[in-house]
Amino acid sequence: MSYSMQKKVIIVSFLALPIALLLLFLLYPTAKLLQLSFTDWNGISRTFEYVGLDNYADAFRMPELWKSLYNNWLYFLIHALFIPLEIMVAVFLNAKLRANPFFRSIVFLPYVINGVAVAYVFSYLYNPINGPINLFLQSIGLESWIQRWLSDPGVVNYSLIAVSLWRFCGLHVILFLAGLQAIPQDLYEASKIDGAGPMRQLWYITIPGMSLVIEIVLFLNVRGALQVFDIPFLITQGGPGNASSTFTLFTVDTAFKFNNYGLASTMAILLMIMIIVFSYIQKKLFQATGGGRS
Amino acid sequence: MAKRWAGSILALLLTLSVVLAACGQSKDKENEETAASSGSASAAPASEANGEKITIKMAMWDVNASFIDFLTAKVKEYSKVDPNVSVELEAFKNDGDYLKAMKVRLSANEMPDFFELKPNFINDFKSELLPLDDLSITAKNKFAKKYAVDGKVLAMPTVSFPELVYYHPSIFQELGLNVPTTWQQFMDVLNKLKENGKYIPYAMGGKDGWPDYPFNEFMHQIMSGDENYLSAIAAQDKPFSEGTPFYNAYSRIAALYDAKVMGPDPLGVSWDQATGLFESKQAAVVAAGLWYLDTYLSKVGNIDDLAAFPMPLRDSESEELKVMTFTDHFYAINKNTKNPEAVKKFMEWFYSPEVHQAYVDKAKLGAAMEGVTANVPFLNDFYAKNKITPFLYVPGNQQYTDLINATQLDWKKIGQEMMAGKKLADISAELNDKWSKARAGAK
Repeated sequence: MSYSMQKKVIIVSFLALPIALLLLFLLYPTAKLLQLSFTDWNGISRTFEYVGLDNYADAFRMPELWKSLYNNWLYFLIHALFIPLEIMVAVFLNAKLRANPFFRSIVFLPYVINGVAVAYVFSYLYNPINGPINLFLQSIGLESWIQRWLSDPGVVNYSLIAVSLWRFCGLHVILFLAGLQAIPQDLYEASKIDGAGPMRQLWYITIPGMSLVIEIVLFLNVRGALQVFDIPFLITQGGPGNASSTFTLFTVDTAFKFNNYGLASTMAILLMIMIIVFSYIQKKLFQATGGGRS
Repeated sequence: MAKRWAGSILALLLTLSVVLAACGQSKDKENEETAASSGSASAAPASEANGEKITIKMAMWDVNASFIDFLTAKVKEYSKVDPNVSVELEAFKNDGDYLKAMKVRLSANEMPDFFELKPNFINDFKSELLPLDDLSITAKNKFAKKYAVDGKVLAMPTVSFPELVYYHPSIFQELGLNVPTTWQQFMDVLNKLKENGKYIPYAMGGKDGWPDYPFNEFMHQIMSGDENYLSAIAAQDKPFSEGTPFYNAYSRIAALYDAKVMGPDPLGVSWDQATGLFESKQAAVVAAGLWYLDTYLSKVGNIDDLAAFPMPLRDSESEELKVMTFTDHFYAINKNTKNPEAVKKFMEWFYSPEVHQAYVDKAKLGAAMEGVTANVPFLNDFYAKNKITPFLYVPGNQQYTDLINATQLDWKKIGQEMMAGKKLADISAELNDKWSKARAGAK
C-alpha cells in the first residue's frame, strides 16, 4: 500500500466513527423529525397518516403560537439591548483592578448555577406574600413599585427576562473578555501615540477586534431567545394562562399535553428554520454596519 | 484521480459499515425480541404450567412516597401466593412524568405487564389493553363498567373519593359562620371572611395552574347534571354560549374570582404555598379531593381543626346536592404481555378484599370494590353528616379528546386567565370559535 493510500486509510478510519455518530444521532433524528412533521402521529398509536402540509398551515393559524413567539422576541430584544452593557463590563474587568479574578468569577457564577435552583430562588424572590423583593421595596418606601411579578400578564414576561439576564449576561461578559484579551496591546499603544482617546480606541480597535466574539454572542442570543424553555417552564409553566409561554414551551405542550406530535414536529422544524434565517440576517446586518472583520 | 475516488469510496464504505453495524445490532435485537415474544406467546401457558419463574413488571405513580413504599412491599407478598411469580414495581412521583415515560415505552415496545392509568388516559391507551370482562373481580368493581370503552372493560379503578371543601371549624366558630349549603351561602361565607380581614378566605394556589380544577374543570360538568357531559359537548358546535351549563357555571366562577376572596395575589402563590397558609390557619377554606387529607395530616400532625363540607353548587336546599366523585388509580393489563394468565391471576389477587382493604386504608380513599369499606373515619364521617348525590367523573369520548387536543383547550388555564381579569364573554366567544372550527376540520 502506498504512503498516500495508508494516510487516507488512517484518516478515513479515524473519521468514520464520528461521522457515523453524527449520522445516527443528528441527521437521522432530524430527518425523522421532518418526516413526522408531515404526519398526524399522536405519540401513542403505532400508525400515522401523512397529512401533507396541513400541520404547517395549522401552525400558522394558531394565534397562541404567535403570542408565544412574541414573548421570545421580547427575550431577544432585551438581551440584545444589554450587549453594549456587557461589553462595557468586559472592558472594565479587563482593566487592571484589585481582586479582578474574584469579580470575574462572580460575574460568571450565575451561569454555572443549576437552572432549577435559579428558578426556585427567583420564585421565592418574586413571592407576593413575604417575598424579599416586595419587602425590600416596602422597607425603602417604594410601595408603589410593588408589582404582581408573576401573575400580572403585563409584567410576568419582564420578570422572567430579568432572570434570564441575570443568568446569561455573565457568560456573554466572559466571552467578550476572552475576545478583548486576544487583541494585541501594541495596537492600543500605537493608537495612543497617534492621539486616540479611550472612546476612539473602543470604536476602532476593541469592537473590530472582538467582531468574531460579538457575532458568536449575537448568534447565541438568537438561538437562546428562540429556545427559551427552562425559566418560564419552571417558574410559571407559561402562565397565567398562556401569558408567559414561549415557542418551545408551546411546542412541548402540543406534543406531550395535547398528544399532537406531528404538529409539534412541525413547530420544531419551523424553529430550526427561524434560527437559521434570523442568524443569517443578523450576521449580514452586522457585517453591513462595519462590524465584520472585513 | 483514481486514488481520490478510491479514498472517497473507502470513506463511504467505512462510514456505512459503522452505521449498518449499529443498525444491524438493533435489528438483530429486535428480531430476537420478536422471536422471544412470539415464542413466549405460544410457550407462555406452557412455561406458566411448567412452574417456571415469571416476573411481572408493574408501573404506577403516587406523590406520596410512603404509599409507594407500602405498595412495593405489598406486591412482593404475591410471591407467597404464587412462588413462581415475582412482581417488580416501578414507581413515578407524578402522573406527568409517568405518562411521558409510558409513551416512550410504548414506542419502544417495552410497556410493563400491569400498569396504572388515570380515567382520561384509558382512551389513549385503549389499543394496548387486554379486556378484563372475564375476570371475576370485574363484576365486583362498583365503577368499572362506567369506564368501559366500546363495551369492554379495559381498566379498573381502585379508589373513589369525593371532592371536598376543607375548612377550619375554629375559624367558623370564631366568626360565627355556618357551614354553607347553597352557592349563595358559600359566597356569603367567603365575603364575611374577607370583611373580617383576619384570615384569607380561600387558599388558591393559582400559580400552579391546576388548583382551580374544583371550579373550572368540574363546576360546569356538575351543573349540567349529565355525567357524560364532556362527550355531549363534543357533539355541539357552540357549547360555550350564554345559557349553556358552561356559561352558567363560569358566570359563578367569574363572580367568585371578582369578589377578591382569595388573598392579595392568588395567581402569585403555588399550591404548596396556598395550602401552607391553610395549614398554618392563615387561610380559612380550600377545595380539594379527599387525597389532600393525607397531606394535611402529614404536615400538621392531626386533624383536630379540620372539617369538610360538600361544594354547595345548588341554589336552594330543596335541590339535590351533587358532589363530584372521582374514581382513580385504574389498573390495566398490557395486551402484549408474555404471561397474560399469570398477570390476570395477579390482578385478581390485587383486587381481592384483603389486599384491596389494605390498599384503600393506606391511600385513605374510598374503596372501589363491593364489600370493602375504607377505614377512613374522616370520609365515613363526611358521608354520615352530608346527604349528597355522587356525581361521577366520566372522561369525554374519543371525539371530545380529539377536539380538546385540536383546540388545545385547558380548563385550568382558562381559570388562570379569569383570575388575571379576562372577561367571560371573550372566553366564550373564543372557545366557541375554536371548537366549531375544530369540529368542521374533523368532519
